[in-house]
Amino acid sequence: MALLAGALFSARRNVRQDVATRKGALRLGTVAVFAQLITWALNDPHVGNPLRKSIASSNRSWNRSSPEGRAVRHASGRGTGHAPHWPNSLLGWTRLLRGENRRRTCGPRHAVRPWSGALITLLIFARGPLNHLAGAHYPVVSFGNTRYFEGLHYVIGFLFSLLVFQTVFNAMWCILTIVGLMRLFKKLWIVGIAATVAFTFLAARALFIDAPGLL
Amino acid sequence: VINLLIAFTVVAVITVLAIHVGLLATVVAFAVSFTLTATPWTFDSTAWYFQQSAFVLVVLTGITAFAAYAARSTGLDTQR
Repeated sequence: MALLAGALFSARRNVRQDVATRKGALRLGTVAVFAQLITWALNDPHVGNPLRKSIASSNRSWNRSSPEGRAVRHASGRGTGHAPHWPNSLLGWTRLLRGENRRRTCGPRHAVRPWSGALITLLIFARGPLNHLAGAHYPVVSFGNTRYFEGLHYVIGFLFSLLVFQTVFNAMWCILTIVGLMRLFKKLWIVGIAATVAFTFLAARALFIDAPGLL
Repeated sequence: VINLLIAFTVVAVITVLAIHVGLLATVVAFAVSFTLTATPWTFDSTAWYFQQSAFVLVVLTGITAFAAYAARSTGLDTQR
């Protein structure tokens, strides 16, 4: 309830200050609400569904007056006298929300890249054979998400939950961390290495669990 | 050591994506990776869980097709 109240307050403030992207916010909100309804309708158990907190996180992340928004703004150097360090990362997303997915800047470099997910999965699956080649002859147990066997309704609900909330939440934290590291290190390659090391130790365990929630 | 190296490589891919390509690409990479890992894949149409596997395949194919469509955009229609 506190998150909801905070989101409403922030939204009202942004609208009054005329800094809100109303069209994008409306589109995002509509997708978020319907995706949550679909997930609730199709997936059991309803209680404790991670979407409840994820939807609030998504709204807050888009809100520049929220604590996270302020942190990002501070980390990016805005209002602090430093040069802004906003990565190009955020541009493709906001442009897509405005319906500008056919712009060149949103195409080759900023559009969706599913092959990256496939590459990540291939690397994870390569762990078993590589361990075997290295002499570690133990069975690699991997059943995937066994709730898939409940039926197609679960798969649809899971995908809506995954695509709209869980992955956005993880990616948002990645970007937030990278922007924060940009304030500490001036060289981009140092930021990349520091972020990779930090994420590896945060995510190493979760990477090999067959469930969402990398960070 | 192999596990750590693979974890490091996977995370490096994610970091490069987040820095150089964008948030949307990172989101989709997470989504595709989670989905590929979670799905009990089968191409045996008589398997009782074939429906789930086929559905996810269609969804991922659709996302890939949209990515190809967006990447081939000339940008002339919305260029300002």
